[in-house]
Amino acid sequence: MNFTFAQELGKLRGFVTDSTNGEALAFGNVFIKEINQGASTNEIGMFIITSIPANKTYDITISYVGYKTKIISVFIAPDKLTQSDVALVPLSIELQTIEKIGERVIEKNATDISLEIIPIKQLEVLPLGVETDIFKYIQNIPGVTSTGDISAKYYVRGGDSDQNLVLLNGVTLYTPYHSLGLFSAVDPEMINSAEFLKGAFDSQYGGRLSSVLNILSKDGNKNRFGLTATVSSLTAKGLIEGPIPNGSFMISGRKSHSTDILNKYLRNESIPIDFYDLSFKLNYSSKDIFENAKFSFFGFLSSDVVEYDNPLRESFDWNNQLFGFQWLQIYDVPLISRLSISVSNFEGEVIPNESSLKPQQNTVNDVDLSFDMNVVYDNRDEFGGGVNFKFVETNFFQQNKVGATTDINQIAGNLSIFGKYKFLRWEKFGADIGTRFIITGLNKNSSGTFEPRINLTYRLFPNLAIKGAWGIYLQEMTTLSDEDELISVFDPWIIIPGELEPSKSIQYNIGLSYNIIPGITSSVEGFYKIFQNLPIINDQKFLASDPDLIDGKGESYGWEFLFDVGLNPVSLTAAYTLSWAYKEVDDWVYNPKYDTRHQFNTILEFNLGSGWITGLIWNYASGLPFTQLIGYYDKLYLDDFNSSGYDQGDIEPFTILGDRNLARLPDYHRLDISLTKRFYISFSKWEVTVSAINVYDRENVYYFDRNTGEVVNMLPFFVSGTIKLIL
Amino acid sequence: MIKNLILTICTCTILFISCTEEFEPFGEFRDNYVLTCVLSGDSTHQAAVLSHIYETGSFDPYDNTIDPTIIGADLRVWLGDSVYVFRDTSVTRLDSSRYITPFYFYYNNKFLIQTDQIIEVEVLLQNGRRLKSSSKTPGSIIFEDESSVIIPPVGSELINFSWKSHTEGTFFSPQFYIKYLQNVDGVIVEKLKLVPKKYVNISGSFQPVYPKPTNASNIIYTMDVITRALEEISSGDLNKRNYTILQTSLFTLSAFDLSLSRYISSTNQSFDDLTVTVNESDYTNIEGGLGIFGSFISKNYETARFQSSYIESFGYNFLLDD
Repeated sequence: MNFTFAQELGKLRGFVTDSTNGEALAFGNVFIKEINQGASTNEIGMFIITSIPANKTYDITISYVGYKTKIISVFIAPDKLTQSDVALVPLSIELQTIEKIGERVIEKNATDISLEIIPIKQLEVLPLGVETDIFKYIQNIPGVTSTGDISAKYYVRGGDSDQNLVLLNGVTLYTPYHSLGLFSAVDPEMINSAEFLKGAFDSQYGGRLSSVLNILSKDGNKNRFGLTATVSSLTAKGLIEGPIPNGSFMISGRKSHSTDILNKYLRNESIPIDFYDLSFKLNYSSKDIFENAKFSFFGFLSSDVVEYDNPLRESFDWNNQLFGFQWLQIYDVPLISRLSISVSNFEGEVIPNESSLKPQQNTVNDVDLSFDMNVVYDNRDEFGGGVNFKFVETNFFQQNKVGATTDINQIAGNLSIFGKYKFLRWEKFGADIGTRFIITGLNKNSSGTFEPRINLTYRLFPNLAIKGAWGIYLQEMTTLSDEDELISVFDPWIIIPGELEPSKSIQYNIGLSYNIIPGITSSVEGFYKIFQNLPIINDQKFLASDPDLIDGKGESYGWEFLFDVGLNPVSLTAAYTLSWAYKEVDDWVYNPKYDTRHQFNTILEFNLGSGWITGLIWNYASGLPFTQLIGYYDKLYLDDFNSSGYDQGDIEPFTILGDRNLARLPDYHRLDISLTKRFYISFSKWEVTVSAINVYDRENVYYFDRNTGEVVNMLPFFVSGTIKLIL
Repeated sequence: MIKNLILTICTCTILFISCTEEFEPFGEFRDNYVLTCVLSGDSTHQAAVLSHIYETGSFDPYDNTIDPTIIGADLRVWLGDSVYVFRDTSVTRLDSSRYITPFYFYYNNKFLIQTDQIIEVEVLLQNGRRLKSSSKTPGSIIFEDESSVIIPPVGSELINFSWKSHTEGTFFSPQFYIKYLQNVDGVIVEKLKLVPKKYVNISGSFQPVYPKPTNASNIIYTMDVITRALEEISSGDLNKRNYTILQTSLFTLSAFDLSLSRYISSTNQSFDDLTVTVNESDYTNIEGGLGIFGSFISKNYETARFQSSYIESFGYNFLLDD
């Protein structure tokens, strides 16, 4: 006679942190070998493992590259949530290996197609131009393109740059660029973790069609006061952090001190740009108020000013102000809830001074209130849901030189809910099925719209997983600049007017992930995107009554191949993308400026030992589209109108352009190399990095000036350096 | 390992250092024709220029020194039920720095346009190519306040001229002139001084900025600007008595039809010095070609009058209206 007894189960939850400063270690691995079960830490460093056979002590292995792997013994009590927090000790400089994170090998059924974890610590030793820049790094990810190495703007899988959502601690950052879009305004120094979803993002995220960059700032050192100071040829920056009663703080600031180096970016033209950014975060957590609760208050300010001495030249200024409050509550169910209140403002202005240019102004005021929660069931399934209310006011005013005005003022609210169910109970199969529902939209045509999304993973073999995703995405805001503006002062944001439908994208993704051997992985992803109702800037707007935007559509598809090696002392990432992007306006189909057919990016990091690390980036992209010049005609200009006689104005040659983007620029390729030395002097840690940009001085064509014929190249060879002091 | 790495980098560098590819910025040239015809409501002399587009093989259009104008085409303009045939002719070119040939154009001296008229043009080239266009002449302009404006005004530093048009989107060209007489070696010459919209101080030197065509329905002049314009009349001449300022000034307002208004707007798109864009829009209303077919009507107003004491404060003579 056989008896079957229900097995008693328990749960394990914990936070993985850096022992030196208490910062959360996101995307690390926690593994129980005995039951072959594990989990990755989420963006706040938390992990949950359910369905663990109880009444037993297990050895839990916690690993995070760059830190000493730790094994702890934990007794799992039946029907209980066992809490076990772990602080990992960083490896010494001598032993420090290449950081390689985001390989969620532990979660075999993770629904993570199109997810890229940005290795923040790696950025510091890679040659990324004058400043370490997260956006420049993103341009190396397969599926991401740019219109040239001058700009930090990026385009994901055939989508426009305004289709990329940039979140700082969950709050939308509208214009995250400094210096005419040359650099990101988000200083990597203050980032704890960043994940980049280049498609297939789940129903938690809304408002953009193409990608989500989710940046979480550091909490600040919980153990001791610290100071980090860095000087580059462009900026000086500092970070102060330390403990406060029941919490910690972090303040980070950056200020331009010389813009001479920007001449390399701007055709040797000296532009008097002055910029700064400042971010801070305060954390508080006390059992006296709410047990297992964490309160955060954070802010981000950035400002750029361009001011010439010449009164005949216009001045420019633009700035971001972002403030947020977050209450994170962890329950024993286990359930996590998050309540967020935030304000994100952007203001940009072109002040004409005595120039003939008319003023241009753009303001965006975004107030956001959101609540979301995520519960993990005993069978490992998860349910997440939330509600989000966003109040947005946008104002845009522009006149051309003869007074044709664009004046758009809109105030609207978006009330959305989302729900998602993660089916993770089977070891080999994972599914994330959810939808957003816009109850009332910013664009009046959005209300009552569903955005369903499905994300599936099936592990065919222990080292091979097949993944797929489908989803519908809506966007209700757009910028009034497009990819033809290779350099723009700032991108004005508006709510898509009610005469147009909100932008919509239907996306299909499929992928294979193959772990060749431990430390070597490869993946292939294919995507197909349909864009509907794309708001295209009306280049035939000549009178105030003409529409600012017209309706367009688009399509993109491609394949992305990624090969990743993380074998100490070498880290190598090689990515190849084969893709096509099209836009259609007024029945005319063309390739947008960022459409490149072949793209190959290689990132190599090599730990030379004794604190020396070298980094190498080589990028290749087949030629970007451009519009050829097909002739000239003598055109009448009536600026100096004279009503008497035939000679009513000036006759000057006008350049006639051919069919849009029909030709291709020469292929692009560039090699950058960096060398970093980390060392201690007394109690201070130093890091010196020297980067050589465009080592073989490739003359990559950026564009040609159709008026002068000058071929304008992208970045030439130059050397930049940074010195960093950590106390 | 390090040696291999260095070797690889050096090899790549040598491999790529000499790779500079040429690219072709010029597309296939396709012949096209340009009609420029702006009909005037001020005069019966109407003119048009017909030309073809050209290529130079370079980025400098001034490399082309062959006059692209075309003669011998049949060019007709319809004004209501009337048709006017234009003849080609030529005059001596004032600026021969580029084209040395005479200035060829088409003309007709027999009609004057009025407000709110439908105008059409058709050109038949000798090769059979046809260009067509139509437009509607500007609507009537209503000058807001035709009563006298005294300069300088009492209790204000601003002179405002305002008007309105029934046609939304109409562009205007306002021009404010000071009428004066100059004694040049005993000969009295009648002259007009165009008053700028403003003066800009550049390193201590005041540069005039003249009003451009605009869709604004008023223009404001400050007394500072008028005073400086009056001073400029006799600039460099110590004998102020050589100048006689007429009491009545002249304000000319030209209204452009909607086609011409769009055309003017298209040539004045607002791009700042820092923005780099690789696209440029061009407006044409010529079916089958490029260029513009439009019209304008001007109207003069003599409502602004100077005060004698103000003029005499410059040392000028003052001449009352008849």
